[in-house]
Amino acid sequence: MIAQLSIQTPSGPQQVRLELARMGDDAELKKWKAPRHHSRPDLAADAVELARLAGKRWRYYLRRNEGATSLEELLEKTTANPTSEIGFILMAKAVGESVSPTLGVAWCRRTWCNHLVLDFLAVHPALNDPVGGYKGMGFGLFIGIAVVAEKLGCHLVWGEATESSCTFYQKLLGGTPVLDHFFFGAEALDALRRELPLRSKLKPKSQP
Amino acid sequence: MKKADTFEPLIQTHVSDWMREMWEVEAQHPPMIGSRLKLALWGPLPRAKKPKSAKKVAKTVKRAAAKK
Repeated sequence: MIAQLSIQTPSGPQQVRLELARMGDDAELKKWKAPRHHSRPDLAADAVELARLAGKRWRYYLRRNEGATSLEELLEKTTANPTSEIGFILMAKAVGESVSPTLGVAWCRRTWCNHLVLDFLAVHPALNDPVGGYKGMGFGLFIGIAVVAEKLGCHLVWGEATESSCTFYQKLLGGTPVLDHFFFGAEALDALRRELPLRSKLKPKSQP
Repeated sequence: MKKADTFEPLIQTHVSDWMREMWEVEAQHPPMIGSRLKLALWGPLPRAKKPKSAKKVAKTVKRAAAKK
């Protein structure tokens, strides 16, 4: 597990675990379906399609031995070959009961010069309804990406923003104008990571 | 046996004002991104048909040789 955070649901806070997708986890993405009632059916359809495309891209990289299924594997591969491109999926898994075991997904590539490219980010269709009462999954996934970037010693995360998502990334960057691309530098990534303290800092220090 | 976590996970303990603000932004402006470019996702492309002109070229060459 990389991190644990909470998102808002209509029935209160929901705990979510962020981790790198393991073999077979993509099967959960194939189960995503647009709910019957959704105020923005286009967004629901986008979520289903983007999650499936992310899964396909991941399987393609795994077949070429250019994918990672754990943080340890990701670090091993990048240490063994510092200029290699390695892809991975960051998954948000629900802790306890939820509309789906997998609530969000982000497909990232670590590039040859140790930057992270975010190619796909999708939130479960039940969670991306603006009037559905769910909030925070996308933001949570981005915090997870910032944590992975730190583990890799990576100082830049970039991606292609869409017409509908550019406002979110602009706000996340503190108002820096965003059109069809965004760059999260070291400072912006640090700000995201600061939202979550380390588990050890929550526990009282044990006596030797 | 399950492999032990090497990395220490981060745990959210409180919801900051910034986080709450971003939740509201996210509800109105979904952060989903992704290109629908499907090239190189489906494996090898279907085999191209042999050009029909190959036979014609061979015939033309043969005829030219016969004339000589």
